[in-house]
Amino acid sequence: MRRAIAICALWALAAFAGLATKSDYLVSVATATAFLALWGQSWNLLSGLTGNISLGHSVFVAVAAYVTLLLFQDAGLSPLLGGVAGIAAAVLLAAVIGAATLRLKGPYFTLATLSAAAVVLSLILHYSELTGGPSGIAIPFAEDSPAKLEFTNVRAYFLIAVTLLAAVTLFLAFFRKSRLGFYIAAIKSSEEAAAAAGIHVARIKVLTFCVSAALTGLGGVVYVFFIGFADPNFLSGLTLSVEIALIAVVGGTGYLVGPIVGAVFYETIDAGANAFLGAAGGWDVMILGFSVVALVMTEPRGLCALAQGVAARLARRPPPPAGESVR
Amino acid sequence: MTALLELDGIAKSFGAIRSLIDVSLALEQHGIVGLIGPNGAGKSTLINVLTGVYLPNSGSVRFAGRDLAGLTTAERARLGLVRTFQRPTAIADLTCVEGVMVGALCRGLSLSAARAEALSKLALLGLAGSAALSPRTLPTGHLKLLDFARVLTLNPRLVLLDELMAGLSQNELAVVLDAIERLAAQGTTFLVVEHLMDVIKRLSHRLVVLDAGRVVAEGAPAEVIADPRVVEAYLGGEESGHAHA
Amino acid sequence: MTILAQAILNGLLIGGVYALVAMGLNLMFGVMKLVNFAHGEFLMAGMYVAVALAGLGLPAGTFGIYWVALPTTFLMAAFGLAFYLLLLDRAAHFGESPQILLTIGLSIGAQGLAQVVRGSDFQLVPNPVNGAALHLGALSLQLGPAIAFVVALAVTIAMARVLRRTRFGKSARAVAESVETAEMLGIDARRVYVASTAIAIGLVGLAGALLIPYHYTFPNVGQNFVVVAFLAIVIAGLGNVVGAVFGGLLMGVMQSLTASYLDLDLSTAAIYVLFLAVLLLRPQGLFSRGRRTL
Repeated sequence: MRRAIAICALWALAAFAGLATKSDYLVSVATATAFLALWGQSWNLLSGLTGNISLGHSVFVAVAAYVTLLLFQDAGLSPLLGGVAGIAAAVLLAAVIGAATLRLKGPYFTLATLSAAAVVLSLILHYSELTGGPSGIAIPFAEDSPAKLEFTNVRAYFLIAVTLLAAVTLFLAFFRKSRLGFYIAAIKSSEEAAAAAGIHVARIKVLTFCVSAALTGLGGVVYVFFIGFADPNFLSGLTLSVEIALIAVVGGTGYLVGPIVGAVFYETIDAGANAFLGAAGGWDVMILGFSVVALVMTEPRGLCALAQGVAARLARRPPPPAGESVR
Repeated sequence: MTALLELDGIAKSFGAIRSLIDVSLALEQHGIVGLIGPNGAGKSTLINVLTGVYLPNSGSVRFAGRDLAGLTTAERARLGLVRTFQRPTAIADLTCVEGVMVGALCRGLSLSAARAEALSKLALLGLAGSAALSPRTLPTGHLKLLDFARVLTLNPRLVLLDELMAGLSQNELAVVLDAIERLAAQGTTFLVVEHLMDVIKRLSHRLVVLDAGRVVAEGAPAEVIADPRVVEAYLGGEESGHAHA
Repeated sequence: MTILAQAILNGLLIGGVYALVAMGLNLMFGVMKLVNFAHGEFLMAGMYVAVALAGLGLPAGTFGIYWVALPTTFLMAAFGLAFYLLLLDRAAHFGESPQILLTIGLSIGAQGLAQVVRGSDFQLVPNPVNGAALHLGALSLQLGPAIAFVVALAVTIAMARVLRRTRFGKSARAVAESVETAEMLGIDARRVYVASTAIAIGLVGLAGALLIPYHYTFPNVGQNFVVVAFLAIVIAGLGNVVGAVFGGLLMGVMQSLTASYLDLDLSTAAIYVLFLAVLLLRPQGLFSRGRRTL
């Protein structure tokens, strides 16, 4: 209950801050951060809770986005309705991938998810009459229209993104201690023991994949309208998949707000490096990469664990034991 | 009355290794049946066949009159056929009581009812104090008891105990034996695989001896242990009462 | 018919470099169960090192540029040593996520570093090998890839012997099979890790040196190779270092064939589909002896 209140308070704070900020650019960056955090949370539901690291999550962003966009473009269907189809498509894909990868573990699972995303990207690029190919799909902007998820003021997108993020975070808070959350924890520790306790392991694994994909897809649907453009190489690309996994682990997968912290860290460094060193030249990429290395070597459990350790030391308490998640 | 568990001609091979050759067995309801045998006799394989981890090459398993062929481990557990593990794993991300609750949840109980059920099973096994702790730092004996508590929350009809006693302290052992006897008196059937001879002698109403994939003796504990075939199966001497896992 | 033969031939030759990259990757993956996402960046580093050495001067003759091969290999092996001792040694105790994160961060950072230091230009060392080709009847063999192919085969044979005959080789295979068992047998797993990393990075450095006579060098060049290498080693069979070579060759041939007959996107998809098929249907790999390692 306390966490729910904290999340709502943070949401209100973020919403207010976004509305009050003068700079459109900053709000834009914050919106992108919120989307990344949202995807990180969805990713964490699968990979953080089950221990199987997916490096193909961008595929759910892409599938949901494309289905919604194509329905919008070709059938004039509002993304509020088309988005449902988009999310459904992502869930269907997740069911297939989840079922196929049931017996895969560790790096094999990771490589399989990576491959699935690559195959979908290739298909999107190939069937260009349908999807617009490598040039993607541009969303023509007519006028402000909530039904079409089109807004002139970027703050509208910011509000939506932050609200979705808060909602997903709340969902995760309750999810961990729900029936399904307990089943997943059992499966993560030992599939054998979980089955022996009566848990239908295969069903739960696929279900988890589907829920994760649904949330990821939800973010994807709104995201393309925020950007105004669908670039397949980005939406279904390895770079995005890696970014999503990266920020969740950087923040700390064992923590409820881990992905949020990770996303803020990542985008801050990126924006900061761009602002002070310029976008060209590779400085931003270099600083980003090596910051991640430095962080992992210092505290592999992520920024939240680092913060916990520092706070504990300041309060002269011994730091929490390794691996224990608190928030 | 139909037997609770009926094995008929079970055979299981792994490549060239014939782990179970011809096992036929009937377990009545109520009671504690001990299953002993030298290492490699096929005891763990038998448990895995009963719980659906291995598919037998031939033979059938009937539980409460129902053929179990094609049922997964989880389905069998929900029917009331459960097992504990020789080497238990802690459910790292949950507290002890939460880890134990999952069994009750699978039975369909609500979260609060499942928690209450879990707490009562923890109390039965003397673990009430650990309810809110994380199992990560607990010793193996403790984990074995948690494992046992978890399957008990399924309100099982038949519990297969796979060397539960090894690694337990004297206190824990006493608590466990008491719990088993109490549950057995209330109607739960136990099949106990053990190496600790004095324990198994005291505990079981009936003893079954497995050797090289076959049942070589069955009956009252005192008689079975004195049976020369059993003595020979253990290569003469191990059964003198101080065997260990 | 000639198109098919040419495509297969091209594929085999490209596959030579994939094979070298895959071999090193398989060694690390097999021995340490580490998914080294920075492996492609070590290839890139090897290429830049080779280019720098080549800049010191090329002896006369067609194959003059290949003098850089040995120094590059040793320099990169030393680099691999440092990589292990400074980073991987401590990271060995981390979970899988942090380890992957570490190599991803390293990969990203290295690409940025290369861009900062050397710029994003595509570099090519002018030398006689570039563009040269041998002709066998109607077929043409690109000289650069052909030499890489031959070296890759030679190295494979050498590695196979090292793995089978030397103490290191047997220790590495034992550790790849099961660390606990190996340590119980008295094998110092850490030493195996150190040596494997050094060898693996050395191998990828050699691959880089073999590439520079005919392939452009640029900060992101590793990305093209690393994913294919990963697919190759899983298809070939984890821990099967010799098999990794066949995996690399197979990948090269697949790429070449599908590029000849299908468009670029489908040919990319084809490789991943092949990978997924092997993973799901024969997880121990195509060239393994049948033991499930999953």
